[in-house]
Amino acid sequence: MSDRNRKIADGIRNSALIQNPVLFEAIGIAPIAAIAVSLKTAIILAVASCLELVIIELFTCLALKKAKSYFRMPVYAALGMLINLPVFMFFAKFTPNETLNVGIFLPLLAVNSLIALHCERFAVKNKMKDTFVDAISAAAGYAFVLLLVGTAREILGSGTIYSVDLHLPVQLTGLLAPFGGLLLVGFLAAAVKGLIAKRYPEEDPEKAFSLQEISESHVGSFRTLAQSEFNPYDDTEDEDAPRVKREKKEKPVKEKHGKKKTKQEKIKKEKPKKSGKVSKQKEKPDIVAAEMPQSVPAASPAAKTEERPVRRARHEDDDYLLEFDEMLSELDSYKKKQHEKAEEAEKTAEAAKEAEKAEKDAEKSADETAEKEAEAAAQEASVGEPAPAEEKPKRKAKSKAKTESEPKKKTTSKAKSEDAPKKKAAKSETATRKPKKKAEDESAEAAQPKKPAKKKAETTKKSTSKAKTPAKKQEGGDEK
Amino acid sequence: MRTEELPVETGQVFTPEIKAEIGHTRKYMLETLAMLAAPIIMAWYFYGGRAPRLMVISVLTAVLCEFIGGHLIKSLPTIRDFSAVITGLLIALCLPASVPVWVVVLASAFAILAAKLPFGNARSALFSPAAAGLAFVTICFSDYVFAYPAIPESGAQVGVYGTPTFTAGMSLSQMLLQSTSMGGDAANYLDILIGDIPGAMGTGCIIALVGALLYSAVRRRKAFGVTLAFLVTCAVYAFLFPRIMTGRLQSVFMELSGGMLLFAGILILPYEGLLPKRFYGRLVYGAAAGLICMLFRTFGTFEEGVVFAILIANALCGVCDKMPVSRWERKAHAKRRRLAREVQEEKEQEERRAQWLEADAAATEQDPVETTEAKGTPETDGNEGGGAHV
Repeated sequence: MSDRNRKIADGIRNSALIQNPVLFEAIGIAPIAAIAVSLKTAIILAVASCLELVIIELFTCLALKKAKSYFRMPVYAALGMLINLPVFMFFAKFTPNETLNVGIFLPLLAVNSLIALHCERFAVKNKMKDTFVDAISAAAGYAFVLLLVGTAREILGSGTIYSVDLHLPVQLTGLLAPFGGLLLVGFLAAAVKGLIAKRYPEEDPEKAFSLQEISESHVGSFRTLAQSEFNPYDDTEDEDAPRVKREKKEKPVKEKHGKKKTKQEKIKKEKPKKSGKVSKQKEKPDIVAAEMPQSVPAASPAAKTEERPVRRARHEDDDYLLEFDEMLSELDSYKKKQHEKAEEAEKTAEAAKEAEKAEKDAEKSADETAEKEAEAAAQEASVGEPAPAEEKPKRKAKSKAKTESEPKKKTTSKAKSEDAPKKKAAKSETATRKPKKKAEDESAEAAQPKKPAKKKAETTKKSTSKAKTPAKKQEGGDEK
Repeated sequence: MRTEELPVETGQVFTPEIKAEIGHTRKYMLETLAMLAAPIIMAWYFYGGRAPRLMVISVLTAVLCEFIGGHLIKSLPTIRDFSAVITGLLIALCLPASVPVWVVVLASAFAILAAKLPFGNARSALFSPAAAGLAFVTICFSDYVFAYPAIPESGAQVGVYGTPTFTAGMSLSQMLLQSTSMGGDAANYLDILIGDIPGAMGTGCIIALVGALLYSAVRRRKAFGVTLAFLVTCAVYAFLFPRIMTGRLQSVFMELSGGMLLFAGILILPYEGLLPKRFYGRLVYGAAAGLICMLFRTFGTFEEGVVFAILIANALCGVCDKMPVSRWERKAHAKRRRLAREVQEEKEQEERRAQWLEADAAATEQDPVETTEAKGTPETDGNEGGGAHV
């Protein structure tokens, strides 16, 4: 429940404060600047706009989600008038003077842009509860600004409040003029923005002015209406209706990148369709005239399905963007290939170098082992067990540190002069074994052109195995 | 400019560029103060001690509002350029001497807080603050602003409007409204030229303002262009559509010397940060202001509408910036560019020569050592070859 409360609180905060319709979205400023001159007129305007916004937004959420946008706009206007007439008559009956003061701006609220903005942006894409919260908070934000500006202008401009004289010494009648209203709205926006910056430093109220979310839900243009029948709830073109759902599902997963990815996905999907469209267009002149009426209805729904995603772009000229994307993707793949080739070449070069090093080391080690094994064999027989016993963990251990430390331990443990050549032999053996093992590994990983290196490695393997086997035999013999 | 956005490497708030800007604006404002000296003295001469008092109050209000407001919005303090002082003075000089103190305070406060601070400092202002303050006060308290007192006798005090000591005088603009001529005598002309006729404090003495006009003609060519366009347009309109019956030339004289027209055209309209950049743009700017001012005078509710004309012309400044460039301007630009390019080329040539000499010197230093060691090492050859080629 706390999550839900938090969501509601976030929704209220967003729609009422951070994206306040008047202060940051710049919506519906005309009634405020011109007519919110006293508290009474402000109350009238606030009541009318609140009722309209809430009712129309709920209605769109319920019934107009799958409709095309060219159908939704007149519905907003009609519903606005439907709600405005009773409100107007109510106020005309009970407060005729103020209604006269309000003049034309009360009927003008029937086509308030606030309704269209919030419905297109929010109601069409979200569930009932969220839209309700959004409607209430946006209406509250608008009404709050209306009332505040109205009272300020009344107090400073006429010296009254709700028609009660306050006997102020100074009356700035200039504030009753529209420029005073705009001035007050501007300063209020600055003050609220400062408050938001202090309280919620991450939020940016200036983003409220972008209309990207609305353009995304702008589904169905008048062009399609001209070419097809008037069927606002057409379910055959399901790519458009689920578009609303698509965005809903993607929202919780990818918040910031969801929009871009959907657009990219659409562009990628449009590519094969465009090619299909082109092919169909090419096929058309080949078709015999008798077959035309058959092909046309076959092409038209496909054309429609192809057209609408293409028309999703804001202007017709944006088709070139698709070609651009194709070119870019080709460039990227080409670059990747080049990069991979370069990497492979580098790897082969490195491996070749290492193989050469391994060869040299192997040769050296083969020579050294051949020389010193004879010495070791001669000496080991004289020394006895501890030397081979300590060589065992050396051979088994693969880390350099251990092997390096063990010969040192060896030296510390044995203070004999005979150990010096043995140490050297052991060190050289371990040192050679390391590069041998490395060479073996690298030669195993390396590509085929290293066959001579491999063969040499194999020979070194054989030599090392030969070197090992007599030592092991000796060990085995010693152990036994 | 916000203090957070300033480069704070050395911890200095006032970088040299900012100091230079502020210094430039200060120079401009001090020159304007010099131009205003004569009208101030004449106001004091005609209206006694009240005139300087009002001026001081207006200046103090403007400076205080800029100080406090600048701290509130945390912008760079630019009080040191005297723009607030000049704004206060301009506002005070355009109001009658009998105006209450709170009107002056309101005008100055509005000018600074609403028309200057939201847009930045003096150089980045969008609207002339003095005109905005005067417009606000004109709309709110039009009777206070246009109630000109009769010129008091020497030593007497000017009565404040609303008090019984106030004696109303007939100003030129009111005469024009009622289509009464000033009479064709030379004495009347002289009165008007000296300023011995009721009107706003600083706008009465025509001779002083003509002196300011000559100063701007000599020192500020661009501002003078705007002013000239403004005055010529007003004169043409007054010539074509006179409001009095005694002749067109008299109409021209009366219109140009009545009200705040001359004062505003010389001192408020050509505000430095607001002038268009191109010559034709400046002509259009001045002409538009003049035309709208005369239209306001003829058809407007107030007897003087030059402040609204100035605000409208400020809004048109963007359009005037896009006027085509005149031929002589283009030639001047081309000449300036050519000169700058020549200077830069000379500099580059000198630099190259200096480099060449250094390389030569280095080569000659190395040479005696290397010739002893070996002949013609590739390094020396390369150096010599490079030097020779360059």
